[in-house]
This record gives sequence, C-alpha cells and structure tokens, in this order.
Amino acid sequence: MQQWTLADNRAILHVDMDAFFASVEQRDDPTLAGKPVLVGGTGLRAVVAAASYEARVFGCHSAMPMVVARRLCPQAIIVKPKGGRYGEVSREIFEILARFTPMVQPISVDEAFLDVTGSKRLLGDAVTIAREIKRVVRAETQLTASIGVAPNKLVAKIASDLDKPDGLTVIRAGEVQTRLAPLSIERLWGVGPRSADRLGKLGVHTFGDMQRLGHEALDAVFGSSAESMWNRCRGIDDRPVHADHGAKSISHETTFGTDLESADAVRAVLLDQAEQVARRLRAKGRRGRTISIKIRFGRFETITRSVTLEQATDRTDEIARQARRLFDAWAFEPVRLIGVGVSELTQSTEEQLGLFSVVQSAQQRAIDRASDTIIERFGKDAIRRGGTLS
Amino acid sequence: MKVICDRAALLDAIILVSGVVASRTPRPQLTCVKLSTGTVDGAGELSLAATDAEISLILRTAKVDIVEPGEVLVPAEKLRQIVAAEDNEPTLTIESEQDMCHVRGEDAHFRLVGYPASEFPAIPDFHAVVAEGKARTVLTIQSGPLGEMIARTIFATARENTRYAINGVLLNRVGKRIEMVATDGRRLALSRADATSADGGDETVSCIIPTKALSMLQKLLVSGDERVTIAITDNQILFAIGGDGDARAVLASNLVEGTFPPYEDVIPKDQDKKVTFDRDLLNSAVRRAALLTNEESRGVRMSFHGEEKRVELTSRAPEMGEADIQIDVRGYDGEDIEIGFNPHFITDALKVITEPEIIMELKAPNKPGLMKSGDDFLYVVMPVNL
Repeated sequence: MQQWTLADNRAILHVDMDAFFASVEQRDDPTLAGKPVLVGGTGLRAVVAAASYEARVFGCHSAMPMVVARRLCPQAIIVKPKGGRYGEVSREIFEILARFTPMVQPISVDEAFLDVTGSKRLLGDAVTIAREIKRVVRAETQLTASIGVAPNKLVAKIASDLDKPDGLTVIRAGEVQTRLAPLSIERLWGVGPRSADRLGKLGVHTFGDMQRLGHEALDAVFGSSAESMWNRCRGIDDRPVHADHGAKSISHETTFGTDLESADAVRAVLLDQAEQVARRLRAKGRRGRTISIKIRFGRFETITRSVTLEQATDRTDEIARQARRLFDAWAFEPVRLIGVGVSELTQSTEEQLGLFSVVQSAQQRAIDRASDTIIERFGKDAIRRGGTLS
Repeated sequence: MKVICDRAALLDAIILVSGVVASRTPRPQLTCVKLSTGTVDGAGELSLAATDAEISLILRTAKVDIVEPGEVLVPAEKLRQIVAAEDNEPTLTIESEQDMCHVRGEDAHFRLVGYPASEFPAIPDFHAVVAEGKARTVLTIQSGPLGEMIARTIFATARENTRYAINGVLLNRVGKRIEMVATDGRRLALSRADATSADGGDETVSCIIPTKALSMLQKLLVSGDERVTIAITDNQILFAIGGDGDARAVLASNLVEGTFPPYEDVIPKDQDKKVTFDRDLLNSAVRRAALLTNEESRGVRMSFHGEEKRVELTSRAPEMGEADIQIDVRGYDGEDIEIGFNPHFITDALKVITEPEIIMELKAPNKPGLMKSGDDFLYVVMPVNL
C-alpha cells in the first residue's frame, strides 16, 4: 500500500490546445472554418504540422508526410505555416494560464502543465479552475483547449487526450488505477510501436493488462526502465511541475563514469545534448543567441567556450554545429564531463530570412517539428540524429 | 644602408604599411617593415615593404636622400612610434649596421634591434608576375570608380568566419566591365564599373578578394583619378597604384579559396512593386524608426500604400515603446504590401548611394527586396519575418 503523501493531494492540469496551428488558421480566416485544413508545406518532403479535426476524420494527423495526408483527404485546404503568428497566439494563451498559477510548465507552444494545488483556496477546486481556464481561453482567443485534471502529470496528460476536442476529463486520486485500466497501452508515455508489439505478444493491450502482468515480467520488455514503466502503468508519477519561466539559460551536461577517450564519442554526446537543449528551447518558445560548451578533462581542468550568433536560434542543427565547432577548436584529451548550453534567451520569433538558405532553414524547422512530435508521443529514444548512434 | 628621409613622408608611409603587418605571429619578421633603397630615373627612392604572409604592400617614396644603398628589417610598430615622436625634426637619418638600425634626429639616437633583411619573405613583384605571364588577366581602371566599387560592396561582406568564401568580395571581369559582389547571406551588394584591358585579353575571370586586402586598398586610393593596374593570377591579385612601371604602391593578396554562393540566382527578376524614394527622406525615416528597435525586436515594418504614395514605418521594442514614421514616396507602381527589414541593412546601402533618388522593388513579405540606383549598383536584402 502506498503511503499517503502530499503528492497525492496535488492538483495537476494538463492544458492542450485543440489542433492548435489549424485552429489558429481557421479562426484567422473564416472561410476555412468547418473545413478540413492541413498546415504544412507542399514540397515532396513536407510534413503535416497540424490537421484540423475535420481533416483528422479522414485519418490525417500531425507529423504525417503531406503527400500521404493529401491522398487521405484530397479536398483538404493546405495552409503554409505562419511561424510568428503561432508564437503570438501562444504567448496570449500562456499569459492567460499565468493568471491562475505561477506554476506553469510549457511543454510546447500549445501545451502546458499547471500545478494548481496552491491556487485552490483562492480560486476554487481544480475542476472549477479548469472550467474557468477553458472559458477564458475561448472568450479571449476564440480557441478551444482540452484539459486533464489529475493528481500528477502522467495521468493529467492521458486525461486531457481522452475527450478531445474541447474536453475536460477529471481523474481523481482514488480512481487512477481503475480509470486507466481499460485504456490502450499505446497511450502510455514511453510505449512506442515496438514495445507495444512486444507487449501485445504477452497479451498486454491495456493499462489493466500491464498492471496484472506484474513488475518482474516487464523487465524483459523494458530492461532498465521496467521500474518506471511499472509505476507509470499504475498512474504513479511524482515528477514536479517545473515552472522555470524566466530561465536565463538552458543547458545539459553529462559526467562520464570513465573518461571518454575518443573525440567521436564526445561528438556523439554533444549532438544528443544539443538536440535536448534545442528541444527544451522550442518547448518554451525561446531562442538563444549564445551557445556554449563546457569540457572537463580527465585531469580535472574545466574550460567553457562560447560563441554569440548574429541571430537567436532554437534549431537543433545550428546549436549542434556551433557546439561541435567549439569542441573541435580544442585539442582533444580524454573528457570527464561535457555539456552544451544556450543563453541570452529571447521569446522573440522575429527571424531574419537568408538569401541562400531559405529552403534549408524551412526544412530544418520541419525536421525539428516532426522530431519534437515523435519524441513527445513516444519518448526521447524513439528518434535520434544519425550522429548520436554509435 | 644610410638614408636621410623627409619625416612626414616617412611617417605617412609607415602608417600605411603598418596596416598589413601581422599583429600576432610566431614569426617576428612578419611584424617588421623592410626598408630598401633603389633608383628611378637616376633619382634615389626608398621602398617600405610589409606582409602578413597573406597580403603584402610595397610603398615607394622619393622624398629621400640616399647616402649608401642597402636594406634593413625593423619592427614596424617601434619604428612608427619613433618617427611619430620625433615631431620636431624635418628629417631623420636611418642607418643600418648589420641587424641593428640607427635612427637619428637632431638630439636623439635610437638603436633598434632588427633582423637580417634576407629573412623577410619574398613579396610578389608586379613586373615579374606580368612579365613571366603568370597573370590570367591584366586590366586598368581609374582609382575613383575602383574606390567607389569597393565602398559599395565591402560593407556587405560576412563578419563571421565560418563561410570563408563570403568573407571576401567576388570580382568578376567580363569583357570591359568589372563587377564586385559581396554578401553576408542576408543581403547582397553588387557594383559595376568600366575597366580597360591592359593585355588585350577579354576573357571572363572571377576571383574572391579578402576583405582585409580591399580595406587596405581603400586607404591607398587617395586621389580621384590615378591609374590602377590589376593583375590576377591563379592564386593572387596584385594592384599597382599610380601606373605600373612607377607605381607608388603595390598591394598583393592571396585569393580566397572556395566557391562564392550562386548570387545571380538570388537577384530577383520578377518584382511587381516598384517604389521611388527620395534617398535622404528614406534614410531619415529608417533611422528614426530604428530608434525603437532592440536585440529582441530588430525589424522595422514598412507598409506601402500605393494609392496615397505613402510609406508608414513602424517599430516596436518590448518594454521600450513604439515608433511610427510616415513619408511620401515619389512614385509607386503595384499593389500595397507590408514587409519587415533590418533597418541597418537599408541604411548601410543608403550610405553608399550617391544619387538623390533610389528605387526599391518588392514582391512579397517573405521575398527579397531589391534596391537600385543608377545602372551600376544593386542591392538585394532579405526581409525579417516579424
């Protein structure tokens, strides 16, 4: 029996805007209302950034190749993404969320966790707050949000997805296991297509199946993460809501048990770190101008080197390229610790376009967007840049 | 070697050659200037040479009395300080004694430790390069148009040193025309001028000149209509300023290796909106709108209203404020458009445009703007996505 802790009294909201980019487009252009809309490029390799609910009926969804989506729904209206516009609307929404609690953790431009535990005395219980958020968001932005209310982030996120669009799903502390039990295991964060397949062979299709399977049996499927998966399938999650708004920098560093003896091994780690830092920047709607690396050598000398760019970035390829340049400028010695950081953050989405890189930059953004969507859905190991594999 | 020099002429020359001396180098000889004597038409002259191994410069002055021919290699910065400090002296005597260099004024005697002149790297010799047929092309141009071409392009070169080729200026010679092109990847400047073939050839030649060499050349081009002869070899470019036989200065530079981006592809050809501005009016409006921009919000929004022949420039800096400037345009042809630009990219170009009227051509908010003035200058600038 789990002990009764403060954690069980938490009131966590997961607020998720419904088909955000597509809804913004439909709102800004009334002729698109009620019609299937796909937001994304039209090139051969373009990817759907967002599909309106009318398009989802046909099986279209975000991160799907545009050509596939157009085949599924030939009548869909395709709209080019308007980068700056979504940022503006996103800021309006986060401004609304901040009225309810300072404990807002942005997950992406259109999604956030809120810890309203401390707001309950002032604003009423979590369900009342969730209703009010939905009302204010609709009144001020004409957009709808789906909200999950639960004792923790894991369950809140699952809940917000159960009744989309414009939903409000409440899962109370005492009913977590029973409410999760009938749900498909594919909704569980960390279960990708491959592990779903392997679980299926064990007869596990729902949370309930997995709960009955027991802890030990999960080792074979999940290895070192079996413990956390066992907790997750029972809806146990004690991660706090990180409201690190106003962060001055975002960084990621790794200390190695034994010094890394090869420069290529360090480069692979750097690329992975750049990816993670860039993803966190994008999730917070920030860009940074200064990119720095920190290296601690086996002999414990620590150096940091940085470069300041002409223009702030949140692109994985750019951050990785600069980090690697900084690293390569240093004669190689065995490395004990390596880290990548981005500072001088800005919320501005203003972007100076390039003469020769228009296509490339748009492609890189599409790659970043698609990879964010995949990681959000299937976890961090579901997709990786080639250079991080060794 | 022993020479008596006019101090003012010597100081001018030393200041110029100091511009190419290497600042940080493991080879101390590269921080030196080489003084050597020579004769032209029976009269004595002193030449000063310096190099950083990429760029070299030789200056000649006749304001000198040669007592004993020879050469000496001395640290440039120290020599410059001495010659500058001896400001009561009309002349200075420079004498070498092995590797030691003596500089004497009326009441002063400096002994400066130098190096054997033979340790100075070989510097490209304009005559030899041309005589030996190493040049792919030799042409002449007046210093005025050449200086203007440099001024109209060099500001647009990349400062960041990651893409090496765009840290320089592309020089294209096509028949009797030469053009210079510079870009930093966000804007591009192109300037053209007439040149005369000095070797009868008219083949197309392209090369990329390092920015440092061109800014040095700008300093050397003082008077308006001096003849400048240019020789381009496979890996070097040489400029002889003031004729070629008796050039008062020869600047040589290694060329930048690499491929210049396909600049012709990004010069827009189907712009459908054409605006004619009074240059000073536009300059003033952009500079004022730029006052309310900052790191977070660098762009200025330009809203073109064709019917009223009016442009509204607005800017907004978070937590600072907003600006709104309205100006009239001389002509407008096309639909209304709203587009954002980095104001400095616009004023940079306006600074080098001498004509009172400029034309801006646009197509769409995410497509390049084209600025033109006369037939010999065009400027492509990418907008800011506001």
